[in-house]
Amino acid sequence: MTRYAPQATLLSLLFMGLGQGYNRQWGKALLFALIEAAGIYWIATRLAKSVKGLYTLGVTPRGMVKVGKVYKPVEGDHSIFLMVEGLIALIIVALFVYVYYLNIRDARLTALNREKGIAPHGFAGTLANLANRNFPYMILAIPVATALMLTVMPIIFSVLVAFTDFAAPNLPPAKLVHWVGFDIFGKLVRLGSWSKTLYGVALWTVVWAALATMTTYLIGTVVAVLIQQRGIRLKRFWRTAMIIPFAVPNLVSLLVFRNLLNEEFGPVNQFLTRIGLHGIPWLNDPTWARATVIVVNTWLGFPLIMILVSGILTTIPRDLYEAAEVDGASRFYAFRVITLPLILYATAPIFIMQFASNFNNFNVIYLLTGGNPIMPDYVYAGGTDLLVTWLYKLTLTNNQYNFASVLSILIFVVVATVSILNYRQTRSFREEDLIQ
Amino acid sequence: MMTKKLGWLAVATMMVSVLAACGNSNNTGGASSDTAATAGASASASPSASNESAAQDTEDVKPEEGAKLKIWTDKTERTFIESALADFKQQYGVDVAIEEVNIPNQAEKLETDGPAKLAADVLMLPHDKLSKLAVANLLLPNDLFEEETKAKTLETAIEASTYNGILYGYPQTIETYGLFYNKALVKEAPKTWDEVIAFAKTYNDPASKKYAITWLHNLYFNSMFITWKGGYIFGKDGTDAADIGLNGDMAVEGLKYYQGLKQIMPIKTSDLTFDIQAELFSSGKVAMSIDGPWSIASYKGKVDFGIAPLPAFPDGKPSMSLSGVRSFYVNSYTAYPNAAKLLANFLTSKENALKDFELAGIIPANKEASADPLIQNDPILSGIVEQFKNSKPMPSIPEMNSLYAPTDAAFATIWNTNADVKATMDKAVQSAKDLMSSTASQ
Amino acid sequence: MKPRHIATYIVLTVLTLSIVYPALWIVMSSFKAGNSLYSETLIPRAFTFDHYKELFTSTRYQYVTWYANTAKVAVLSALLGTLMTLLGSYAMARFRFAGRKFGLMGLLVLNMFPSFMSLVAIYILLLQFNLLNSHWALILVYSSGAFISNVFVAKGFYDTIPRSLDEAARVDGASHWIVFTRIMIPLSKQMLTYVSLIIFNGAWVDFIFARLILKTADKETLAVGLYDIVNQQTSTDFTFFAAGAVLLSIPVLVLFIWLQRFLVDGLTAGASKG
Repeated sequence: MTRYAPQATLLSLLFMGLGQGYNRQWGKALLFALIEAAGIYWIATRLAKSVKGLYTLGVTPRGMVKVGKVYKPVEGDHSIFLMVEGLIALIIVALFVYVYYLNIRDARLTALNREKGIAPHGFAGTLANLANRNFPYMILAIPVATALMLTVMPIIFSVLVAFTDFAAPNLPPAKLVHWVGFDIFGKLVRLGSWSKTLYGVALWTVVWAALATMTTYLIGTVVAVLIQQRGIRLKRFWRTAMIIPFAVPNLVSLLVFRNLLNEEFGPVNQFLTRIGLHGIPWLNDPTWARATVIVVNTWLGFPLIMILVSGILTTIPRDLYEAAEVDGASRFYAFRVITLPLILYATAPIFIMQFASNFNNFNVIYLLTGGNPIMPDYVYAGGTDLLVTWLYKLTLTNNQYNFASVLSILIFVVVATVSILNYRQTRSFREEDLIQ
Repeated sequence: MMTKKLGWLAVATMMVSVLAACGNSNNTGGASSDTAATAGASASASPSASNESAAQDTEDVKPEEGAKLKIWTDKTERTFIESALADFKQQYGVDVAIEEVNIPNQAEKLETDGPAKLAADVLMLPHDKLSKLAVANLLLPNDLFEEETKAKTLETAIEASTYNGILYGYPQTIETYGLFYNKALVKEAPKTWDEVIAFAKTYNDPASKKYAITWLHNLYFNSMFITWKGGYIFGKDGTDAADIGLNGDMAVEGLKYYQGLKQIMPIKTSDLTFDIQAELFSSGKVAMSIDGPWSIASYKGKVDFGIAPLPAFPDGKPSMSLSGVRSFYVNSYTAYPNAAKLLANFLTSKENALKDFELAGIIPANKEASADPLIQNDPILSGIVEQFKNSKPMPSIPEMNSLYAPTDAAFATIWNTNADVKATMDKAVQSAKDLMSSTASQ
Repeated sequence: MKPRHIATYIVLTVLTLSIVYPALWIVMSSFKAGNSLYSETLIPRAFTFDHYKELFTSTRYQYVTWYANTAKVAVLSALLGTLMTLLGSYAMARFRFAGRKFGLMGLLVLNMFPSFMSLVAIYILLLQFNLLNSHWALILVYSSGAFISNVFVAKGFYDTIPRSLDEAARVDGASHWIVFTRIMIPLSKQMLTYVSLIIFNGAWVDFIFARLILKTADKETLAVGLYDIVNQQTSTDFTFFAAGAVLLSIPVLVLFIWLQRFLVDGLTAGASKG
């Protein structure tokens, strides 16, 4: 038996594509060689600089000098640009290394096959194989690559910011950002006014997420069940009417609510005073405002659950109810033992996703109350601010990027852990291989 | 297994094109900074520039070869800018593109788009944004036209456009607020707060939304109460961040008077928005409103109104307003610094300032223009011009930004819940200080 | 009629009123004379068509351009995003490969990071690609985001299609590609409609990301333009906004009502196996 494997492995280790060439797979060899060439060119010209930039975050900030009478800007390093460029570079390196690994592995496997007397594929064969054995990888490549660049890379960036001093007034381009390790985490706990706000806002966020999810679920289910009752006419009309809040853009509906609920000038309170009641401080009193945002959120969110539950209800076999009726069970009893468990069972994963998305429900708070009413002892936060809207105020309004980053890491750890634990409990995760 | 790679191959090829793109953008960056450097060098080549008179100076400056500029402007200023740009093109042969950006947003946009080299070359900022952008080296100082600008502009406007002793801005307009009054409801504008209170007692009718006077509760408008008895925002004329005077005895005394005014304006702070105030005033429900020149356009034709200076306090002292100065600034990332400086300077000439007044109703910061009979005798603006004599520029140190959130909260508490003024202001100052120390210590 | 039914009708009517009133209110405001949303009476005293006329004729705002931009971005995002979701979810649902469970978990977790924290990084990334102030930047970001947030619902849908179906085809010699394009895609019509509707809606109304990326008025989308109208401290064009908002809402509303059935099917299938 002729040994091909060591040579092929060694050659492809030396330069991508050499192993394939040795295996006489010319098309593939050429492609790999091109990637290697591009990679070398890039490493030689840019990699070292990018990585150094990520490590140092720049050496000289952009300055201004006076020459004679005229001020001239002196170009310097922009720490944040360097950081992102460095990250992009690292991701490319990772991909390059992965391709390199595949190249070696491919050369070796083909060579081993040759040892067994199996002839290597031609280029056409390679392509054909692509559509079969490696089909999942092929169709995953594009979504995953985009997600890697547009979602994963930015998240890594956001996490890294937590370990820097990137916050006003230390902002590029005039200042350099530095790595500061865990300082900001410690600071958050130590600073009186910050930690008080953090505690208050976090508590309300949890309460909000729980209540907001439960109310939408409750109302959505009740409405679906009501419409689904036998003997109710115009089912389609009711359902269509209930979809309206889901379909009207948040931007519009929340602005409407803000105006409707104005304590002094809103139509709702005007109506209440006209019928002899007192106006209610819908958005002005912290407790009322919290109740109001939950109610408004129910308005916005219940149609989704209603649609979902309506769908599930139609899948419940009629005979289950008929059997219950024969046994003399009350309607309510039938609902409790048949309908409810089925709904809960089927919607459990959505329940978790809803909880997570309410936890980070930016739009409702930002557009309805802007986090107000004002709480005198909070820093940059108001009575209805969730962690996520507080974060937004910190980053985009007040440029406190590192604090915001620390906070989002904390939120993320909590939400992700809860979600993963729950998700692992769901049927779809545990049993998915049994379903087919 | 071997063909699994092809999927990744596509990814890798994509990455290669990414690299190419990165390379490109860097190159352009380098190129533009090169031009900037040469341009700067040629401008400073005339060694005696600083000794020459301002007029000659202006003639020395030429726009760079092939210069093309971009300017940010908002809707109200747009007509003026458009007409002035035509003259600019005729005089200097430089094309200027307009992008519409609301003035309050221009500062934050410059922060992101400046370094990305996507921002306008010339933009307009209210003076309280200056310090933050100047510290970040995002603006070019007004160096070539320094003498000329100083000579032709009102002193307060120059001060407000200067940071750390360096003049950055090309001031265009000064503004402050005054007492807008509906002539049908108020025969003669009240001279004192006592008169306002007396009028309110006869006029107010909350059930049908009739109020004698409204204003928005924030540090900008409420500062008149703080300064009445000698209180202040920041010490040393608004420059000493370590000395916040908001909870001093004198400020507290003034704010107690402010708290007492709730009897004539029984509306919670957050219910009264700018939108509602405008609607109530133009529909003749609100008789007077403390507002600024930016509102004039939307009231014209809807309501017969005049503007008077703010009412004086019971002890006869006038109400001091805060003033704002809006100036043109040059983006430090501009590829054509000379052309951009020329444009900014051109827009603030007397003729253009008067044109801006005609088209957008601004009060010019240009000395000659503001002394022009056209403005002095304008029936509506003259009240603001009068009030300007009793105004102080809003403090422009970066720490000012840390004051808005805590004071908004404090005014809401004082007004809505009738809380103790001293305690509330103490708390507000404390949290402002916390903010400053937490941001400064990093 | 049974009392139970009467009670049901009452509850449904009250609910419907509370749903319709806010919607009706913005429609009424859009016909109200003047600039302010505030009206003393429940029904405005004077009505006018001017705000709608202004939308199409005014040079102050480029409403028509915004509309065209938004339609372009939303349609292309829906197409590209649906394609990505389709590819990704099918692979995740139908194949067992190394790193799959890890990938699923990763996708779940990626949903939970507050997305605007990433804005700074995405801005710089797009700058490197020369994509700022371009609609393609929006389309790319919306589609890739859509893949991550919808992959679970879509995967859940594929989990409900019996394995035996494609295995039979495979035994008959069809390649994966054939099975995917000829059998699976036609079967997933409801799910695809649902996903594209959701992506379309998201792209149609986003103003936070689009506001950062789009620089010039001729590139702006509806949501950005409208948001900027009301977001000023000194905003006064509220009735103009209302008219713009009504026209903003109509396409989405029509799509949702028209495609209601797909919505129910898509969501249900996705959720039940999630």
